Amino acid sequence: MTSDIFQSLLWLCIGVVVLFLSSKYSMGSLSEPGPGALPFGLGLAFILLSIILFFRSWRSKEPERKKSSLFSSRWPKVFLIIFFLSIITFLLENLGYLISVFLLTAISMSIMDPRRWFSALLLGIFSSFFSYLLFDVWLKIQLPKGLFYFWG
Amino acid sequence: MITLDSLFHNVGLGFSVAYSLSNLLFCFLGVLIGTMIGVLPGIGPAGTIAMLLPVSYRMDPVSAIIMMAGVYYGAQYGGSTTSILLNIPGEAASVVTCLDGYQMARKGRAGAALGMSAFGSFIGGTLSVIGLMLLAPVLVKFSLKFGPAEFFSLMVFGLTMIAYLGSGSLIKSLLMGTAGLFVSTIGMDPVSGIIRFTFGSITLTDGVGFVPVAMGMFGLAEVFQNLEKEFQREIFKTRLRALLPTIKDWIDSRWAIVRGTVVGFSLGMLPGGSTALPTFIVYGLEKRVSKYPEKFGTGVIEGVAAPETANNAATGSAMIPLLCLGIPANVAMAVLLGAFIMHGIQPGPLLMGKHPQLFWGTIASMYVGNVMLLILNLPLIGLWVQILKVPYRLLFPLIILFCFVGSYCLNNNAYDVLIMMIFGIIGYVMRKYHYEGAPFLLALILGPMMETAFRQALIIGDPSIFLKKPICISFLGFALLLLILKPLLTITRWGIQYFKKP
Repeated sequence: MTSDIFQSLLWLCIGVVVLFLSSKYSMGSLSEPGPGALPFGLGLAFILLSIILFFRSWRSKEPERKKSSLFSSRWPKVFLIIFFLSIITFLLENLGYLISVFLLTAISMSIMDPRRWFSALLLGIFSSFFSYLLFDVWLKIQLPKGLFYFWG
Repeated sequence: MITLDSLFHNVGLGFSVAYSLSNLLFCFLGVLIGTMIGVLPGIGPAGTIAMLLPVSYRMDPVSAIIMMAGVYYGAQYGGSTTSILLNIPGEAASVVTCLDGYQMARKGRAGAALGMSAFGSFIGGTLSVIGLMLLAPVLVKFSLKFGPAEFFSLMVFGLTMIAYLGSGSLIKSLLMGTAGLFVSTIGMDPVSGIIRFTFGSITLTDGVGFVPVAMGMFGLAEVFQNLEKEFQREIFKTRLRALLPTIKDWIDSRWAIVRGTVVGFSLGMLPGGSTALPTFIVYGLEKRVSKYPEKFGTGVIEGVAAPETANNAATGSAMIPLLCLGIPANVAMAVLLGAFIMHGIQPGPLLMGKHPQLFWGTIASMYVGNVMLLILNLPLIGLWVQILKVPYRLLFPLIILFCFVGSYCLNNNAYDVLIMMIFGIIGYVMRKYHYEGAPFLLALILGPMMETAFRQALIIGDPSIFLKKPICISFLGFALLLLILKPLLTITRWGIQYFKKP
């Protein structure tokens, strides 16, 4: 179970970082703990738990329940969606709501099923328009206008 | 003293709230959405309630809570449909229903299975609301005596239970809980006002909002995960006309329904109890007490009636810790707690006294909602089967859209979308390595309350305060017992093996 050993080392690192970060804040006293006390305790908990996880996976001889691999056959799709989502998030305020959401739904649907790009286009148009009606017009939530700044 | 008079008065108040036209409408909307997401595998009640939060922002708080509670118990009704017709559970709480429900469908008795699961759900759900009504005032009276030390101990117990009862490894659940607590310390320290771990980010000053986290972990991650699965979506071609169970079905199931209600109600209250756990336990129980245990799994009606009653009976009692103590028993309740806080209402012992309309209105709406669900699920079952034909390539982009817009709307801040996405990715990777999201999210929500209670308790007394109060000792003792029970058993086993070796 090398993956569990690797995970325990990752948690150990997280614990050390948390300890280091929390040492910058005051620990306070036992009757009046400061802002650094709980995070420091959590850092110790991370380290303790990671050590237990390490020894448990070291000892365990059972085969892993299911081969857990980060990369299944469809991971490129997930990766692509995450990639485009991040770009759209960064451009949201500049592009404005309608264009961003159109891109968001149209792109994610065409990634899921590349053959149906036309229905992806339609879904993008409809979903951006109707969600705009729902959120901006009906619920009066201010959405970024972006390129449509002249509108309304 | 809780008198019958005051109970009748309160129930009357509750129904007067629940019967207003707008609340009836939102209750209907809630149970409709609930049934829909219950039918659809791939999106659960927690993610859905999180996505509805921004929509409810401008609503009256009572209507908002009524609607979201409707999503929660409505999902338990819908979950059975796919279990019976497709052998795919719509929700975790309907996994057990597959065993006998699908076999009944194969024998041409899908109608009876669907009908019995709807009736069982109705009976379990309604009885559990009555239980909630009777038990809540008693618990509120009791918990009014709680000070910070008691609340801290209760939260420690709750989080430990959630980690313990989770389906994965205890260590991994505890790691997730610790991580959740740490993330909850980001932002302003609730006691001293010092800003912690923000690295200069203005968005993080308010802390990592749990709504984007819930949307990411239970909405977006769910989509990512399901993108990798192939769903076999052939609907069992069967006659759905005979939906009413026969008299023999009723006679066979009557005790299963009673046991389902009792088990579901009592386990639903426990932190981490969820709606799935009682279904497994009651199915095992039915098999044990049955005269023909060997027939379970081949399509016996008790195997459908018991778990379906239990998961609905658990929905009413799961509201008890949230409404009376302000402590959520599961992830969906945690998100509902977020809805309360978003509307400026703190659930807990004071809720019943301060907001009786909300408290009793929500409970009364659950009666109404259960009646609506029975009507929605019995005559209209054909409609829900049609919903299953909505292709995922349409559904998933819409879920992504709701997560995206929903997290933006919270503060009109694109960084919240970023947080949602980061936790979507974390949730996706986490699931691959069998880490659960529930302990993380609950720790994130309870974290600030826990830290404040802990530090207040110490300011009031000294560290021995946790050992002086009997309530504290029992909660902390139980938590400790849960933590050392498993390792202790393992070590004993190792020891026995070691000495047995020649």
